Amino acid sequence: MKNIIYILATILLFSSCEDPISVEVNSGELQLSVDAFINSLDKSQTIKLLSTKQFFDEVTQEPFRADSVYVTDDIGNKYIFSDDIGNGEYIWEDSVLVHEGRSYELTIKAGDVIYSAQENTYPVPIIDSLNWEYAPATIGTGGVGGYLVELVARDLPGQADYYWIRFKKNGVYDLRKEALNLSVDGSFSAESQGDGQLFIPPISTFPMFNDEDTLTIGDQATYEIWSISERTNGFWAEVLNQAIQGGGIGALFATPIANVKTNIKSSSKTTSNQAVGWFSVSLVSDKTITIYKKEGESLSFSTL
Amino acid sequence: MSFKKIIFFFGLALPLFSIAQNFTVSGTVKDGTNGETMISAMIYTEDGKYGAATNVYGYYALQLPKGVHKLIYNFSGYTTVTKEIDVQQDMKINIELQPQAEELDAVVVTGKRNTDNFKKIEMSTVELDVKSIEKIPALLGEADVVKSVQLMPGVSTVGEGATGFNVRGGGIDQNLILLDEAPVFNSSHLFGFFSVFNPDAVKNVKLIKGGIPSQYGGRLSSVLDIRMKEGNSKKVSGQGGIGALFSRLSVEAPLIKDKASFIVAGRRSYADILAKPFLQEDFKDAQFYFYDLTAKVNYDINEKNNVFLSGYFGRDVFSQGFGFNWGNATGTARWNHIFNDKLFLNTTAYYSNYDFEIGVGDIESGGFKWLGNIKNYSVKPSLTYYLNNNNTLQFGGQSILYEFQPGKSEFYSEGQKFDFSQKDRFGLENALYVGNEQKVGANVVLKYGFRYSHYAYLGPSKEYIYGDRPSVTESRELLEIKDYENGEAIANYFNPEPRFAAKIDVDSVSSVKMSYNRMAQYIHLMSNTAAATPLDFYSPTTNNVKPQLADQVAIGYFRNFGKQLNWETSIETYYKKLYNQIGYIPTAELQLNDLYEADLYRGEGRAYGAEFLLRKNSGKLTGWWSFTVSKTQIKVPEVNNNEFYNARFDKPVVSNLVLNYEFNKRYEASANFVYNTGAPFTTSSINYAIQGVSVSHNPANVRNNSRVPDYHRLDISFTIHGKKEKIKKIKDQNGAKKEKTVKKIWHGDWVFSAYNVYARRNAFTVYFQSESNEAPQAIKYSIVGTVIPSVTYNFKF
Repeated sequence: MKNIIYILATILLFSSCEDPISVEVNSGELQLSVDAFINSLDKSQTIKLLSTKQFFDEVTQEPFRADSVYVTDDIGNKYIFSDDIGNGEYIWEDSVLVHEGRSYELTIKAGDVIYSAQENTYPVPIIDSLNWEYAPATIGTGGVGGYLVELVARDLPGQADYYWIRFKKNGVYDLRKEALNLSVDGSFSAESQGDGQLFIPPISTFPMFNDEDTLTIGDQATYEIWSISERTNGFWAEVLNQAIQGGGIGALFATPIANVKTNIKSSSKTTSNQAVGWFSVSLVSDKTITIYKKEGESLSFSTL
Repeated sequence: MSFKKIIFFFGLALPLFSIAQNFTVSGTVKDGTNGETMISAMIYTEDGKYGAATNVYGYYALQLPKGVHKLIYNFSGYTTVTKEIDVQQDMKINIELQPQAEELDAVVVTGKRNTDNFKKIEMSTVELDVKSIEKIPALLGEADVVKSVQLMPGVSTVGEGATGFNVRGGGIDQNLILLDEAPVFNSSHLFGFFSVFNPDAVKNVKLIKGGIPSQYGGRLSSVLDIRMKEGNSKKVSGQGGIGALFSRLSVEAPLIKDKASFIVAGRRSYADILAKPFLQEDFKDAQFYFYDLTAKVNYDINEKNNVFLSGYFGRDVFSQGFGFNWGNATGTARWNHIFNDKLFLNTTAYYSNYDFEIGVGDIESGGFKWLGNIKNYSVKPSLTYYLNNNNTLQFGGQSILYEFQPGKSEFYSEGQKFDFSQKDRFGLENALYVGNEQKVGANVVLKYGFRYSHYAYLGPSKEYIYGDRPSVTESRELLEIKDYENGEAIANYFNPEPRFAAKIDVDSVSSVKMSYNRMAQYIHLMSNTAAATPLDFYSPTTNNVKPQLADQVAIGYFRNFGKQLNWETSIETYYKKLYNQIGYIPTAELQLNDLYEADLYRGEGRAYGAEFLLRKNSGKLTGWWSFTVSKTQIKVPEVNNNEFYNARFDKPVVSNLVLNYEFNKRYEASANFVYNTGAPFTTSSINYAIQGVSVSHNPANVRNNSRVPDYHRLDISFTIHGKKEKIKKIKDQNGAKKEKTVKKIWHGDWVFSAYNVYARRNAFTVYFQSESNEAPQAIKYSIVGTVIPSVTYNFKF
């Protein structure tokens, strides 16, 4: 009798499941994909021009051959990007090109088609400090004892500021969708009254989703605050909206998948000569710390 | 004055005298075993010239000319009563019908007359009584009102886990679901697996899909009118069941024999308690249960007045770290008053509330709370005037005051409370209606009417005024927010709603029926997800959100076959146009956002289809096959290149086969096989990466261009009926030992059932999973992935 109850109860609660299936998807027109997030962080800036690819194709995106790629600012400078290797990565590395107060325009010429986009720069606050402390095994440390790192930074008062906060562990960017961290005034939205206040958790918290994310002695944690425009914030919101379509009970809450917008305009009207992707300009504040044992702190790790 | 003239005038006046010689025979028809009033019982003279049906309160009124008549009272499954009367004045005749003894093979199990199919004016209507509902195998052996309705033509859902159902291409918020006249907003427990209606308390269920009469309004696509039992007014009785997932018990008894009675019915699930010892560590504290309580009290004050008080309260509770619960509460008070045998009044006043709550923690420990609700208060007088045998007039009105609390939310951190609540909104909906059911000659019945509805968006709601969108996929720009006084009208809408239905008898076994209706809807469920969830809120009509409107025409052919006319067939086609349908921007923020109206699009819809039903109502083998082909599409200028696209609940083919076989009095088996085309969803055709994040894209910008795999499922059940009688040993007058058969006070049935017998993993949605640098993989998510067996013990006393 006990077995029957067990089977019946667990069957209902946990009888849902996921299976891979094959789905026929029509092929789509290939277009130019522009990945141009230029910033004030260093001299070397990369703009990736690739072709989009068919949904189920295994191959990586093919490089896009442009005749010329350059960025101009509003005080007459012209920065020419070149792809010497031919892999679609157009590079500028002579000097820092993003400066506060300027506005920028990206131009890409390919045959008769001219692609262009404009963007302004917005101010970014400095990072006061990064704090860290040891925490025993909890959900926040991914289940293994480790270090939690928090950002101390104060939003610039007076206007709605949009930030993209990026993380690096030991010099490598965290590119996971879950780590995509957007903030308005250091908080969730313009109505959250975060203007002029300190950045709040979880926005200020270093990403920790699983055991491998745990920071230990000697690890380097880097925060970068990138200032972005409201439209760039909207672009990332649309990317996130697509990215969270998932399975599990979340499948009940999925919204229909929609195309992400682009700020790249094309001089042509045909579908194959349209572009996707985004051009963004950011001022960046960054700070890196290396974790070391603080005085008076005992070092013990517990594992589940 | 000459003698001739006197004769002449007398002769002219004679027809007037004979018309004036009609009297009204009226009364109530009840079930003789428990005093329940009988809905749609038929009363007619033996010559077939005069006839009427009882209304939802069991009341009938028939105009008969002076003289002797033989009246026949009839309801399937009950012994017909014949009464010879001499009509010399208005008469009151109340009748009790006795259920037929069960040995007769000709018992019509569904409680419908064999000729209802083509004789009743109603088309596009499904009427079920509890006996039919009990015979359909359902999930975990529990009879379910809404699940039974979903097996009828024209009704579908997006899958297991959907909290509502779709009728003729309408959204789940387009069904007016009434429990004793009070609306119910979320008709399901456990994400759609069970409905909130306890079958033990239900007397009659009617689903109207088209040709909606003028006394109903407020939703575009259907009316699901559920009437509760009054409660046994003769003796204490009850029923219940103990099942694998939940148990139920209902008790009914007279308060004053034959005059007043009550019924209380409750259910509670306990799967979470049973599963506790066997759950994984993470789920040890998980709670998941639902309960509901339905109760009613009624009192026949005198021959002319009855009062009723009924209510429903139910909740679903889920907690696992955080808590999440939702439910409906309704309370209805009704008064029936008979003015003069021809004029019947029912006045209803009700309160209805649907709310949800989700939260964790508190101010000290941190956390958040979020709740939302919709409340409504209404008064609804409705009158029926039995003008003469050819005309029955219905007229009345309704006023509903709405209070919307779309989202109240608090966020707790370090001893502080941050309020993110949305503002409350208010609306007032009014309607007046008049309608007539008219017999024209022997073969034509017309039912026509007019409903005039009005809606006001009221202060102290705020008025949000928006400008244009910066681009097609973005929110509209906010221009101004205006404040209003309590009760001040911000926006007013008026909608005439003509209604028309006609039935033309082709011959003695078939008829053609046609209908037209225009409906207006003033409340809107805000939902942009794959399936509506209990967290979706209702928006009032405002200065921005316009009333939804629909026009539907339908035409059908209805015919019965067989010596006893026990094979019913019908084919019905419909075409519906919907206006002011709501679409959403891709990143619509519908939760906790006062500016949600800026994220809405407005479009139109169209739905058309053909519904076919074949039904056998008597004999050992009974059941039906319903088959629907249909199309439901939406057009929103900003989506799918301004072309019609398939709606999420578009189901081109739906087939339901329901069979029930009675081996003998003790053993019975049933099976149902359902099939429907998979639901549409949107796929992208290309993808690209930006800053390492994969983005998918559809250059053709289409919506719902693919379908999930088709859905099909087989359920079976087997019932062992307990003996209803037992042998009692007694001594007769002479002291000799005898055996007597007596009815048992208590008898029970065992129901064994299996849901999804061949364990098909039907897709609910499909999504794509992609690791970086790998091609995406389509994954199908199924809510039910295995066969679910169960055992239930049902009892009656």
